[in-house]
Amino acid sequence: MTQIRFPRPLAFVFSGGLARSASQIGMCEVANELGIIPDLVVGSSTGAINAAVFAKDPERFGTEARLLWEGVAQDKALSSIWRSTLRGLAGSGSTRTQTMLRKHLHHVFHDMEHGDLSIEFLAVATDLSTGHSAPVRNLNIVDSLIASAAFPVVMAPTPDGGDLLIDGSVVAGVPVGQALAAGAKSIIVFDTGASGVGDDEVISLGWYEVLALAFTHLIRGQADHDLALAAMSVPVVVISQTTGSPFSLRRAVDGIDEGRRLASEVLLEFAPHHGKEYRKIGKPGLYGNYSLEPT
Amino acid sequence: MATPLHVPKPIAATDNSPRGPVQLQACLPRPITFVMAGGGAHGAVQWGLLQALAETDVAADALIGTSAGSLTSAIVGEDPLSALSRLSYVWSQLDLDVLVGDSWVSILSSATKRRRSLADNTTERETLEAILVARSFADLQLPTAAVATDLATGKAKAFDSGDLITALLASSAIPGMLPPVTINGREYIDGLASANLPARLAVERGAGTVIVLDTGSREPVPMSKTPTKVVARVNGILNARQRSAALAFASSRVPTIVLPTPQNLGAALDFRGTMSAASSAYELARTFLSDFAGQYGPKAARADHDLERGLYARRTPYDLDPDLRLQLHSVDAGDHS
Repeated sequence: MTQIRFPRPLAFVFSGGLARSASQIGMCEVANELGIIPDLVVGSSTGAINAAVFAKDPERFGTEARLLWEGVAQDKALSSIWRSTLRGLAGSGSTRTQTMLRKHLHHVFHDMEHGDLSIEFLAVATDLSTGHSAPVRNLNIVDSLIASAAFPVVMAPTPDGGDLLIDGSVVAGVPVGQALAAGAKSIIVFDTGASGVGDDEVISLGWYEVLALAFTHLIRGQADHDLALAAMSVPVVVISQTTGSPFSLRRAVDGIDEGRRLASEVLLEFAPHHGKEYRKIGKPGLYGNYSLEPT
Repeated sequence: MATPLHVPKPIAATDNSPRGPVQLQACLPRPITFVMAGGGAHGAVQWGLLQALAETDVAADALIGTSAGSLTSAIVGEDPLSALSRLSYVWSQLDLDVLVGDSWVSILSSATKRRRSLADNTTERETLEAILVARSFADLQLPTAAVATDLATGKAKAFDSGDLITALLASSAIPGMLPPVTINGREYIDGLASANLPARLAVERGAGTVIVLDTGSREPVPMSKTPTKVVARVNGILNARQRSAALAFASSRVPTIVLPTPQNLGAALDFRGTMSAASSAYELARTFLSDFAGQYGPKAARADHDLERGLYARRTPYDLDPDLRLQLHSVDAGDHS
């Protein structure tokens, strides 16, 4: 099979999306099977976790990532996001969620540093004082992931030098800008961070869900802006999955097959197979199954 | 000894400009759109900014506002001539009580129940109906739009026709606190969730010049790990990001003038500081506009044609995102001693 040619360096970008990010496992596997290997991987929040597992060993990615997500799903203390939120609101409990997530991450990464990974890896966090995105460079892999995934209230901010770091998806829900800054000349986005609910669902939301949805809308609006900006300078292929609940960690791995299906749909369009016509990726622009509607 | 009164001197008496309003309009591509951000009680800042604009020859051809800014837009749009006087009545009376009334009292008992909001908007509707005579956008003198967020999709929606009061309620339906508002079968919440500073929408709707009337910001608080502080900070960060993106979009297409605003305000729902917020905004903006006229206005040596696109602001107008490539035309402080 001829490899799909991307302008190099090629970055894989993993969005946030809580439980829905598990689908990135399927998306990434398909890319791998098509022989698409990135030069760097960038992730925010739960996406950073997948990105790091990939960067550790792309060959074993599918197996290791599934084990990690299944472990989290079976951990009763971690799998209820609402319970974690209540713990966070109670203040003292917020380190407990961290401790438990750390345990699962430690099984995969032990005390690995950034230099121990086989592919260049960037975890994106939000610097609470400047309000700008911050690549986490000084911490080991586990601590970098904890910082990048520190969802406000659910987990406490991570100190890094004099700064406090929280969830990267606050300022970089889809960290394409950070991939560009790291030198990427083409980008494939595994996008599980869409915000929105069905028209039938919207009327039954409680006040706190309305509040949470307002936050995710605001985050997504900025991610759309970042995508538009990145697509002006390099080709950006987006594989976007909008189904599956962000909040149901217990059933997170169910979304992997859908991730596979969507990735095949998007990526095969560019693959020179069966002697069919295929699209070339060269010019800057937005490719894939996500479109940016004008507001 | 009593402290002497602090009263700003007329602009013409403090610099060498001739009598009469500060000359600006001739260099601004039309239509000129006033863009009014949301900000709760900080909305009083816009009253002060409008006072400063009234000392120039610039008038709005169109208005677009979000949340508190949508109310101010409607007040100006209804009758630009009396808007400043009416705003002084509004801001001297507006407080949380006339927005949520008694419904706010029941919060503690109802917070845990599954309801759509902590307060209802009956009182707010009565308040809006007392402030405005207009009931429909068609009753307004100037083209005016109120921005809300589609709750299901998160997309910004600019209302510019039909029921005015309902659109204003939607635009200011603070998520969690006030109920989502149904318009044409869809649910809407506060525009803050999509376009708190609707500069992008203004340009998409045909603005030739954007004049940004923002609402200032709170005094920075020392950062800590407390969940409430983190959430408040995250809200501030998201707001700043949205504003940066909107300004980048608008200024890459049309001249976008950002009036300076006070950065030391109290909480967004604390209505006790509205008078001082308005007066400091007035003072900041009038010197800015006078400096702006001197540097870029029709009488400035370099301005023999329309203002070019870009962001016209004090050198560091905001904590703007460093990744944005902005064409910044700095407005430098002149001598106002």
